[in-house]
Amino acid sequence: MESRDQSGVCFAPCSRRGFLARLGWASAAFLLPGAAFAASAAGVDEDCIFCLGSFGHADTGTLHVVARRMGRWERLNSTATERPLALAAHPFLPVVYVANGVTTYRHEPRGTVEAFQVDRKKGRLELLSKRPLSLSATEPRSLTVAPDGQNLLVAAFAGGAYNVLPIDASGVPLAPSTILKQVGRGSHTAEQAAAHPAAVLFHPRAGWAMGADFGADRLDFLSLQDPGFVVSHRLQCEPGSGLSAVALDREGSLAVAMQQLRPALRSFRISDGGTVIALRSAALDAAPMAIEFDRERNVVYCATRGDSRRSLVQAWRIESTTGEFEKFAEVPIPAADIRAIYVDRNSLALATERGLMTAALRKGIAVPKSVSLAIPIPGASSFVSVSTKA
Amino acid sequence: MSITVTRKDPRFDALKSGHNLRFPASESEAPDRIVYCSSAEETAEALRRVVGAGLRPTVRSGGHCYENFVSSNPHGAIIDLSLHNSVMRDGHSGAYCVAPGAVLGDVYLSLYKRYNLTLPAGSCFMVGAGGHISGGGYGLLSRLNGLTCDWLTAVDILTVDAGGKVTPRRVSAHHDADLFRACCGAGGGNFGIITSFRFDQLPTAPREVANISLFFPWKDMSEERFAGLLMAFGDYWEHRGMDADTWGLFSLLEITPQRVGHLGLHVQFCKPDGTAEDLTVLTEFLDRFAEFEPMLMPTRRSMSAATNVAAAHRQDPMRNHANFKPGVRLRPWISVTVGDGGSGEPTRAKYKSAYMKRNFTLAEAHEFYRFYTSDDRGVQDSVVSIDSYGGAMNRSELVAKTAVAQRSSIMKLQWQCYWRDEAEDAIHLDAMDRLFTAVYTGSHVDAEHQGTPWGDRYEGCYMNYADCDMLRYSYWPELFYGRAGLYPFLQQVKRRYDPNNIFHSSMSIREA
Repeated sequence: MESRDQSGVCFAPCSRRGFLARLGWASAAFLLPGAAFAASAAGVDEDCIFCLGSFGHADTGTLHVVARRMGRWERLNSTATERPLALAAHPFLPVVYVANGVTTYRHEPRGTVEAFQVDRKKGRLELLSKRPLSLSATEPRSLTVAPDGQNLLVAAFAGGAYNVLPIDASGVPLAPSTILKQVGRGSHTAEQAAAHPAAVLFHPRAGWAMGADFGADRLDFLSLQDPGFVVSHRLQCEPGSGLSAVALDREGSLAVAMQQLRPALRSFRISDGGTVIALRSAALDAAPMAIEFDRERNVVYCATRGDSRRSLVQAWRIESTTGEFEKFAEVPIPAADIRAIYVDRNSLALATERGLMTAALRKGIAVPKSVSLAIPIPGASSFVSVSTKA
Repeated sequence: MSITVTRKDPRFDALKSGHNLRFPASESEAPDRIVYCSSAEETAEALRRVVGAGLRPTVRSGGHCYENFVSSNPHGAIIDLSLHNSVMRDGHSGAYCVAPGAVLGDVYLSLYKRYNLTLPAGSCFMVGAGGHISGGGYGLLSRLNGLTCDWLTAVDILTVDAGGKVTPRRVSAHHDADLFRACCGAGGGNFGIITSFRFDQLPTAPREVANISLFFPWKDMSEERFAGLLMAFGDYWEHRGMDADTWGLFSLLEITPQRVGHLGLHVQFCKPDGTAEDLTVLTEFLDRFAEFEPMLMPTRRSMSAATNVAAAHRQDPMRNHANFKPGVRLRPWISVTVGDGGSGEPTRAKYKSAYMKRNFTLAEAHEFYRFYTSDDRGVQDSVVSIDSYGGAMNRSELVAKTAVAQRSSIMKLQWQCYWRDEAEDAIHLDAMDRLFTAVYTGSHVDAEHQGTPWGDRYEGCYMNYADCDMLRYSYWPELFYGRAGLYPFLQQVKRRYDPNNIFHSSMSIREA
């Protein structure tokens, strides 16, 4: 079932400063070393380093370094962290950021962010810093690093706030420089009594980011203006939809949002001029848990809930101009919870409650027989690729 | 039109802090702006702008918040109500209306001069009504007349709904009764911005009061004698102080370090009819301390700094007054209340509190004595004020009508420490924490609540003497709001009226 929505919003900052800032961002991204986009370019089956977070039961929170070497996965190292709900990698430093979905820090209502340096040769992790978010910015669930590596944007779900933390030259996040407390609600009285920023994602080239607010059913667009980031525009979405994740294509011109409460995928066109238009939606049979864009193929992989022992990974092709969805594959996964998806040219990696599961991809379709538990790490919750070149 | 003071404004440095100079702890912790509002309408507009910009609003009236709830607001905005300070009567309803920015001294003077009324509020006349009344403020007349919030009949408050809309409300026992109750003791920085306190009735101001200040030299103070003094004080409030004829008696025993030279006892008395013609109750109270050989405070030039009671009696021109006790002064209540009620200069400070339902134990006395006779650098600038409590404040029917859970206490302790040098912060904060923890550690405290004033003998802490050290105890909400269901009730009110948690601090009401 599809629907079309013509509502649109322009989010491009109009000030001279904003314009220059965007130019600066784009230039910085262009000038980055080749590894800047390692996450999306890591398609070949060579040595790749990843980080995986886990928590649950006896595990109060662990960050693992895992590697894929000649098609085989192995865990290299682990270190304690605290409820790692989301991970993000620095674009050109071997640093991984952890969003700890906690509600207190030193007895105050704050979530936290940790930064770990990854020794790619030995697979070791070194804690660079642990940084509290702003007061009441609790349970961060998503974080994203600006393409120039200078800012870390965090969505604090329970606290209903965005925090922007500047990142210093060595990759260490500093105290929040922007705190944006959100208001809003949705039509689902139990789940949407307040704003709940659930996901954030920086545009791959420009200086803005988008946020999905689960509680208020809207997309927020954050851009840098004097003296810091602001929510420059918002796009209201279907009431009661419960946006919980977003993904962008390679160019950053097509976005897909995941609706959790009214299970669906929704596409958006983002023009160079800074206009966002809602395009199409595709209903899902069950509540989605995670999405990821395959930026090579314009395919979105979406994990949906199945029964107590099984879930599904669906492959949706998106028509790049109309945003129309077409489901072309569906593969059962022997795990109940899929919390993160990573995709490259040859395979899918899934963070599940059983551990890291993988599946080979053939023409964008996961091969059922290839689905396997690559590394048994109970409670795997988040996953990210770490730059492999300095 | 509200006035906005930003970081670039030359006034910002002088205005960014309240009375406790520990906050903001650094430049980066300071707010981006301070918005001064002089009316409810201006306040609503300021709040709209602040919320619309995604900033955190904190609210300041007199600036006497003891912790970092207001001035530490990185990138946020302080909405300062000190210019919204009227004390007037509503010509239509007849209600007495106190704006949040009015300081207690002005409240006393206005209510007294205009209506011969008063509010049983605190003794520091520069404290703002906003935080004081909404937090259940009390003072020297509270044993006689109850807490300030006990007299509230309505509150005008701005709340922010789920969609971010600022809504002005007049809440009372008949309209938004849940929010009204919450504002009667737990209204500080939790639910919205109070723009007016409304009272249909207020107590008549006393005509005169008798007061006296005594001190007990440390040089004569063995541990046994010290414990005896504390227990003599506590025994009065545990027993005789329960009788209604004593409710006009307020006393404060100050425990100070040995280097100060003495312990202080300050007393104010008036009869329930607002006169002090019969001082029998006061005399009886003072007689309890005769065995500790009190000295008089040097209140007049004719007295030396250390004048014994007999000598003072010979000098006192009012010595023939019926039931007069040497050193007692009879003065108009308004003179005492406004004349003696300064707040001192802003300084660095730390505070703690404890409600006591029973007299002191030897173990508590021992710890006070041990710390205050030691050369522990950290406690040398501190004082523990032991206030008499109870009386009209302990009317049990008020538990369900207000958000003040502590209605069984006989004394309320306020730990205070003052210093100027930022480099000494850690020394003083550590010492206060050690002293407090030591006093509430031992067999006199439940095993599960060691280190805190909680259990059979205690009734927890007072949110207007906020103390972030208590956050380390998972049951800290119980300490401040009891365990009879008040905190869950406040969480419901929070969900209903501030669903996005716009008004928050490190000790604000948290999600269930």
